[in-house]
Amino acid sequence: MKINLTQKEKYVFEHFRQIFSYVFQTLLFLFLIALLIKEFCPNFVNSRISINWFMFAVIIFGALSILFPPKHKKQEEQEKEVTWKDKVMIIALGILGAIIIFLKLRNLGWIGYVIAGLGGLIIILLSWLILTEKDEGNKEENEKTM
Amino acid sequence: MAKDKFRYSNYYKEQLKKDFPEECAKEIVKIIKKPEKTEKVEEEVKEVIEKEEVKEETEKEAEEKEEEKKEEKFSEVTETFKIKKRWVILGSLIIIIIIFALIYLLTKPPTGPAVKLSPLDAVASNVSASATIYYKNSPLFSISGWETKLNYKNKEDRLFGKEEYKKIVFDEKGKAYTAISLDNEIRLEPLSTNPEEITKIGWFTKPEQINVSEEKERVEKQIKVSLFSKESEIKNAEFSYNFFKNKPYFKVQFSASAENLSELVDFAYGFILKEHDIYLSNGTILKNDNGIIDLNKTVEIVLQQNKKTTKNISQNLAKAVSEKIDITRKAITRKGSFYSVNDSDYEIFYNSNKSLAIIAYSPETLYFENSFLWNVFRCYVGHLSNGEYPELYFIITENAQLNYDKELEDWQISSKEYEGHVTDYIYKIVSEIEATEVKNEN
Repeated sequence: MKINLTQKEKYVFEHFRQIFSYVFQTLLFLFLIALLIKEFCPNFVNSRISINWFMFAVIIFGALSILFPPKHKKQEEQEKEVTWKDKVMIIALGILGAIIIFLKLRNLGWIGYVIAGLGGLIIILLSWLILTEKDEGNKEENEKTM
Repeated sequence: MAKDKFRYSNYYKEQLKKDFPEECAKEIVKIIKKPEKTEKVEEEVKEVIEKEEVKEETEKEAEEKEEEKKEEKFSEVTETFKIKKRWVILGSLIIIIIIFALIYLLTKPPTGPAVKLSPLDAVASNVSASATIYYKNSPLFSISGWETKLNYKNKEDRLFGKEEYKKIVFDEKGKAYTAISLDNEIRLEPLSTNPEEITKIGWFTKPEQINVSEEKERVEKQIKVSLFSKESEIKNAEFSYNFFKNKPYFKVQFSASAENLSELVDFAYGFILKEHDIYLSNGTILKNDNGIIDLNKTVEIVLQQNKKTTKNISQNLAKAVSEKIDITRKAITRKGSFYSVNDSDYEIFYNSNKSLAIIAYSPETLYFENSFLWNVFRCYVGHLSNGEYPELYFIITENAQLNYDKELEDWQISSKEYEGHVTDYIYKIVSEIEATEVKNEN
């Protein structure tokens, strides 16, 4: 059933779509951080917030952002080339990820080291892939327009 | 002539259909069918083709104009409906704050100690050497340092007690009395011992002597409650609790170190458990008849002197007592039976309201003491060697139905976890625990 909205209503609704998307991304990020902290300091998180209800809120806004995706997406962000800062950040995140994985799996013995190492490597490689893929995509676009 | 033949040929017609739109091709075919000369026909065909080309160009231009119009319209729309970033961010922040406020105010985060292991875990106290056992995050019972007893050099005392000076009150004549608070009265007795002498109960008495530590593996958790003392004859004592992930059982073992290990005698694991009946392995059911009766009055002050008890005390003495002890509390009396059981291999503590059964078993049980008066239960075990005592196993069974098998003289348990005789179930669990421990050691 198609609902006909006036221009003003469409305008307001578009803002709501953007808000749903923004809220979902923020809540998801915070939820993942809370889960990570909870693994190491459960008391700290459990005594302040109910993680189950937090997850419920994330799911609700996730559903809303899928059902009502934003229409006007900005494409004016200028993509930058991969600089040394990006490379350092990727490596640092990979190391941090490996440490976190190791802290949880150290009781497994030598296999904990292996899994942690591989996990860190995957983080670095995937991040590198995403960054370089974007960069290559932009180069192709730029060549076409020229 | 060849040209004429060609223009009438089917091949030519097919080519036309391929190169031109249908209508144009039909028109060309009509022209070339005319009986006129080829050159004239060719001119006419050229005209038709030129017209077609012009037509295509105008169509293209019209399409391009339409595209341009659409783009203009779109850009107008986007200009008019330009997303205001400020509104989006502000709106999002407000919604996020509302969500967090709702979650924080309306929902209750899990409070209490961080009970991680499921379904069984414990929280040990570093004040009283006790441990509260949690089942599915709710407290089930507690193993008490105060109710646990250790016999050394034939002197039995509580494992963890207290030190306190006697409460002393004076009457108007300066005569001293000791005051003891009971459930229904405050008993005064003339002071007959040195008031500076501290009353010490228990092998260990100070919280500073307690150390609680935890070790967590992937599927097992060990909690150790260690006691140490330089002054006491018992130098060290330790409770070691072993919990297993996703298993409804755990094990506790006691060990002690003394000046003379050979003088260590019996030990009693003491635990406090309410609202449970006891099912013995011989089929007897001990009903929990614990009760607290409110006497509908406040506690009375009584004086016991020369083996006689009197309530006739002076006002000054009563006032002195009220200043040190709360005399406004309600007087109560307790009831409950006491049983000492020495012919049962295990005891099943059964809560009929919850259909929850707790099986307590030790491989070297001497006897059980069951006091429904205080809801305190003890499992006595003998000293093995080098300060080690046999372990005590607790197995929790939910929604359990118990029926006694007279032939095999054993209880039959029916639950989600197990169907069969309790003895077999106990041996199965003990074997599982031993196998897990051997695996962990390797």
